[in-house]
Amino acid sequence: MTEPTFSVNLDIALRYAHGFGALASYFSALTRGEALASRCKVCQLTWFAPRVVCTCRNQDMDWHSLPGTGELRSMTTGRALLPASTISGTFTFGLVKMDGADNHCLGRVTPGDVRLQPGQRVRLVKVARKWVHPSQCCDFELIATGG
Amino acid sequence: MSDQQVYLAGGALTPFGRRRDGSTPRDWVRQVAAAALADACLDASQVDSVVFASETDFLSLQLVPAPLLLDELGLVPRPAIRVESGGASGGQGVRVGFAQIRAKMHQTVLVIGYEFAASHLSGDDVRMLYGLSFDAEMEGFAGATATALYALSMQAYMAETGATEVQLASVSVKNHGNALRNSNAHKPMRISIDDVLASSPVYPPYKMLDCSLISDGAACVVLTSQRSLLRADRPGIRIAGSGCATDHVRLGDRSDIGAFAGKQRSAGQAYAMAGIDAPGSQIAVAELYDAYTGAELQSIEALGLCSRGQAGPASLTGEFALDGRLPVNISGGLIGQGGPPGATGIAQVATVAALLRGDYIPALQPDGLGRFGVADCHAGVGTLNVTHVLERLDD
Repeated sequence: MTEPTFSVNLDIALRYAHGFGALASYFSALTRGEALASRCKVCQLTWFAPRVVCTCRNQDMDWHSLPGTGELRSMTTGRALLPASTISGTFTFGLVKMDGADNHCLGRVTPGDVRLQPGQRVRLVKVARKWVHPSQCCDFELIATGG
Repeated sequence: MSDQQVYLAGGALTPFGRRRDGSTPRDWVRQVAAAALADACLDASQVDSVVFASETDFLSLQLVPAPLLLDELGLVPRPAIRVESGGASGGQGVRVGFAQIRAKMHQTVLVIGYEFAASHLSGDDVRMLYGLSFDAEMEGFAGATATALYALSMQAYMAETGATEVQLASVSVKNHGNALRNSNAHKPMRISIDDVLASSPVYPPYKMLDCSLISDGAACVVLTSQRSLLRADRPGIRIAGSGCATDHVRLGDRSDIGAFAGKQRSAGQAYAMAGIDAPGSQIAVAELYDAYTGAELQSIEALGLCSRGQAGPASLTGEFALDGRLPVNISGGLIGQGGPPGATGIAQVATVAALLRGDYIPALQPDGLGRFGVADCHAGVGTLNVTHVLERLDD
């Protein structure tokens, strides 16, 4: 059989009632600009972004507040469309080693007027702009140095 | 009791690209299954089981695809299973078929992969969906795309090894160039290193020509325990080893952000099963998951085909070229041939088998390849890895 080309455009919109389970406290804190890490009760490793199960396999974790500052380890900049939104633009994503954490977290970094470089100090900020998912609140700004 | 052997009887793939002819995976699956069975000189009645591989039903708009596709192949009431492992879905499908035969559940298994990824949705929607294939909650919804995460891993690799953007560009030149002689390829291009370096930045260090394409397409292999079913007019191919291993999903939880440690473990399993103890000298050809130019270098090293930090310089001097010491991605890989995630790992296995037999695309067929080849793919940034070692049976 040889078929003629025939196609239609389909628009499908889905609405999810989306919960956060064991990560609810973390995400709730993020929306307030606060850094809430998970800490293993066995090996004391501290995770931000949090792990609900430690790499030592222990599942008994505590929440632990971090000061919200850290060091930028690497970064890259490009265009993205934020899922579940119409927000698109050019964003800088970086891996940040938070003070008091044993891993790195991925967040968006606002460069400001300064050229971003690994090793720069950053802080988590409370996001004032519109967001549709709390992970979009993991935003960092540079901590001014000198002067 | 000796292990059940698993042979590759035949394979086929559709062209990879943007299918804007109104056809769908239902068409491609029928076509590719028929072509693979024809390549094996087998009949559908000889198939005992079918494994389907695809990454996401968001793309195909067909949930529970396995029974439908099986029905359209005329293979009811055979058992069917659908396998999903992101970019490693195809490789995982081969591994499931391998396991079914190895466990003596079935004698002859059809493994079919497909993806409707390039022309069905807008580019932004496809990138957004693939962004959810990492840690959706922590990173995907924050807007991180596959390219951003691969770029962060590559920056760590470059900082540690001294790899350069010129070395990355050499991968793009090679793979796009190989694709020039592959009529199934999505992106054949004759380009220079300067062209790659001058292409638009996407997420540094990656530029447009460092990135592979998401493609539409399908691939199929026929696996069997019956050596008597193999064609007598060409060398037999055995799947000598299969491995699968993982790394932490989030880069920030890894001890070495620039290395593919999970792939190293996956390869170790496959090599041990195949009796390979010096992959750098025993592996003659490799088809790897070059989602990005740097991922090819990271994969080459994780697979033990050269030491850490040496893949970049070796790529620049042509060691992995068609006429090099160890040709990598002769097909063009994902960068040149294209990348429909569900089909890619299966196409890799079919390609390595043809290369080892000596009956691949004539313009891309090296002379006198050794006995062993490797096919390797992954989901995430080297997160879930599937490795297969293929062996040509010379007796």
